[in-house]
Amino acid sequence: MIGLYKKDLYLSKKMLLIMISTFVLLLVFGILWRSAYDYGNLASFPPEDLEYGKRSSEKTFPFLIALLLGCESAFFTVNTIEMDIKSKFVMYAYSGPVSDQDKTKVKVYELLTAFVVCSLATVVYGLIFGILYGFSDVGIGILIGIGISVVINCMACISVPLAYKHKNAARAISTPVAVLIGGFYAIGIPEALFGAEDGLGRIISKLVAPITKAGGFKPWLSNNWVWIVPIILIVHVLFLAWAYFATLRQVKRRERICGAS
Amino acid sequence: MDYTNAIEINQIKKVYDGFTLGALSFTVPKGCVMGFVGQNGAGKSTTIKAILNVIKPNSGDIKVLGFDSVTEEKQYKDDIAVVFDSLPFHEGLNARKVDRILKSIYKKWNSEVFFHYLKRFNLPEKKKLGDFSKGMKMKFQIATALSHDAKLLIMDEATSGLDPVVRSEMLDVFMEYMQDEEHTILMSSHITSDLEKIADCVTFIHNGQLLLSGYKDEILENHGIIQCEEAYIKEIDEADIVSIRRNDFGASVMIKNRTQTGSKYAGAVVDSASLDDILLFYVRGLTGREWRI
Repeated sequence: MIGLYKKDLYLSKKMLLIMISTFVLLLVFGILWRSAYDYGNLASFPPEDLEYGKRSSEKTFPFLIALLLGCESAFFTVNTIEMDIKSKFVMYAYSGPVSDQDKTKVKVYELLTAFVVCSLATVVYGLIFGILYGFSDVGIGILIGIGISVVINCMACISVPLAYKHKNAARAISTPVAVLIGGFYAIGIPEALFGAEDGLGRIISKLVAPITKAGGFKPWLSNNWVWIVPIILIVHVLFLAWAYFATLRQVKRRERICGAS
Repeated sequence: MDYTNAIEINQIKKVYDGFTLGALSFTVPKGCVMGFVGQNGAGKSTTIKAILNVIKPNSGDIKVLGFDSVTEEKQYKDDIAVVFDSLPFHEGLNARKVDRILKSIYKKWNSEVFFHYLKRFNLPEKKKLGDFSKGMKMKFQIATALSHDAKLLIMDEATSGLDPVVRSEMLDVFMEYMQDEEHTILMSSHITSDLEKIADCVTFIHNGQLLLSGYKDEILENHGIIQCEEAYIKEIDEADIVSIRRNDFGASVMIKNRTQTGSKYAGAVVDSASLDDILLFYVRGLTGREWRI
């Protein structure tokens, strides 16, 4: 199993370099941007705008790094599957002493690694920002960053079994992205056309009403993130578990992956 | 596990749209080099995939090194090595990285042996596999296959597309590998000259059906070609004829059971048949007893 993990690491060397470059470039850009409010051209803004700009940049940059690194890491996890199929390594692995379960576990561990790396990157970024400019708004940025890492990781969980199914990384990634965007539009268009009381917006409002009336969302609305974090973690674990079983199901379909004849 | 046959294929059948393999039965005795011969599309790769448990036959069963290929897969996979017709490693990797990867996959991986073969084959350790020539890639695959003390080496068209010098070099390596009586090779190829050099047994398949399987020397001894005129064909016993090739000057008749029936045709010259001839006469004989060139 470690061998397969190492193999994917070697294959993702370029992507890892891109991720490191992204982190460094965004850190430099973020510091320059934030410093511009103190010492640069942006320092001439009216006091209210200046304060807003400082606070928003301290919130935005830590989660922006999670967004970029999340997308890159999700891509390399899925891309290695396509590379394995194209290079016939997948056939070699089937003829070797690696069980289907181990092949699947490697992919789930890679997803977890990607999540940990993205979360750590957002924390490190936030800490650097915090040390330089104070921690008052950085915490929210880090929290949103970890949340974004979870969301992207959950989408990658859907993409991994799809990559085995379609033998195509781009198709495997675009499917959950299309569903997500389509979902936003499905809710957003009726909202825009008829207002919240009509169309899908109305249906969703009705569905959510019993919970909101019972005060079910109060802990969330009162900004009590102590509740949000475990829920996010549970959702993430459920997605990872789903990724394991859905991928294992695909990996077991050896004949389909290796070609019919 | 004690076993007499490294591979036992028992009545396997695989049905595809437009192609059916089998029902196929043959064995590869332990310590033997088995040549697996057939035209392109005959079903050699399908059979090998079934042996590796990559495809699931519709019926029948396969035993590899004494273990059931499906239910006891884990127990034999460490002891087999496979060489494919193309390199199954990513082109961006190099030999050192492949060593590190396979060290963690095979329990008996021996880096010393691996690097010994690399040196012997003049393969660079740091060069990307994508920059290797076809011959180098094949040598590299063989180096990886021989570096984890596999008892069974399965090769799927491994020597196809290689120049005669590299092929000869590889055959020498296989001969060395076979010095250990525990070792067995199943080598699929349509280049029968290679198999004539190293194979102990040969299995012919055509259109998914078994044509012939047995010890190579017996097969070669039992088949012969009578070069004769049209009139002489009537003298040959129908039961001995595999097929007849006619040309403008006469006919070539392949006979079987040559060792037993040779004296019957003392008046004719019976030439030895090569594996290529045997395959050709059997395949052409399937569509009609006589054929013309």
